Amino acid sequence: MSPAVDKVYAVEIAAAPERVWHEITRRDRRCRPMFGTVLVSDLVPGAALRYRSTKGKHTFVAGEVLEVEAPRRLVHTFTFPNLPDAPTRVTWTLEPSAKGTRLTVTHERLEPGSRTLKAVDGSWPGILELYRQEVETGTVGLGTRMKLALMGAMSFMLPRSLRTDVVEAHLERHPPRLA
Amino acid sequence: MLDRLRAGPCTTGALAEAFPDLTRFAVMQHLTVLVAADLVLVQREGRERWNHLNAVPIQRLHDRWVSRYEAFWALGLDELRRRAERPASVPRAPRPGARGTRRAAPTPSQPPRRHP
Repeated sequence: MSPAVDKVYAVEIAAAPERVWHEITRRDRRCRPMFGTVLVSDLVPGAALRYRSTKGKHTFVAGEVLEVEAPRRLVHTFTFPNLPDAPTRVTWTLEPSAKGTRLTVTHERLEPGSRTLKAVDGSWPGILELYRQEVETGTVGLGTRMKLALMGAMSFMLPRSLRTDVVEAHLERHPPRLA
Repeated sequence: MLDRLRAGPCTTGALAEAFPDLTRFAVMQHLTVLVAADLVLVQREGRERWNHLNAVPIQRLHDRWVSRYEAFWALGLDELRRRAERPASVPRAPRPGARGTRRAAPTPSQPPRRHP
């Protein structure tokens, strides 16, 4: 058994896989389920993938696209640029189901005890539930919208290490590739 | 069983060992119910069956209970905004039917009380 941990999360969404795929890969506006960040990527293998703040000033998640198979499968590497943990791998799988779509996220190569593991394990259940809400109802709950507004207002408190220019300089030296 | 899986994914064999009071069959039965409720996800690797806790339904349950208080919260915030936006110079109109003169404007000998 490898020392790394794999985590799996799944949710049933009452919509076609194409609709769910659209929401996961949309780049025309911020993804409320993803803490209101904007996905920046060409979504082709080898392309960079970033989750940034609305104006692009901060970068919260960085990775590289490994596989794209619309509307079934998206695989990319995943790092928090402000944490020293090794890059991990995220696989989004969309399968047609009786209800509509079964969306599964598999997060692999997480180091036991790492802050990355703690952060993603605490976040994915909420993210998947919010994608369900976003796709099924066209919005997310009021509490989430209030939290997003609050997070936006507090953005001036974010550490320098999350600034996009700092992150990109760091990724230049440490590309988000799997070991 | 979910508490055990919260610590990390577990093979069915290891899970059965963690509950020595239960037969392997009983553990399997429990797992079947948890899988049906989407609380446990199964991944097969060779002959091993890895059971993962799926926290998404728990999240939804949590949201459903917490969202009951969201509307209350929003009302509170709206009231706060209303109060904050009210011009400071405009005195509060006396409520119709307010009791007596207890809340009448302060007399000159009695300066307005200020909060520290």
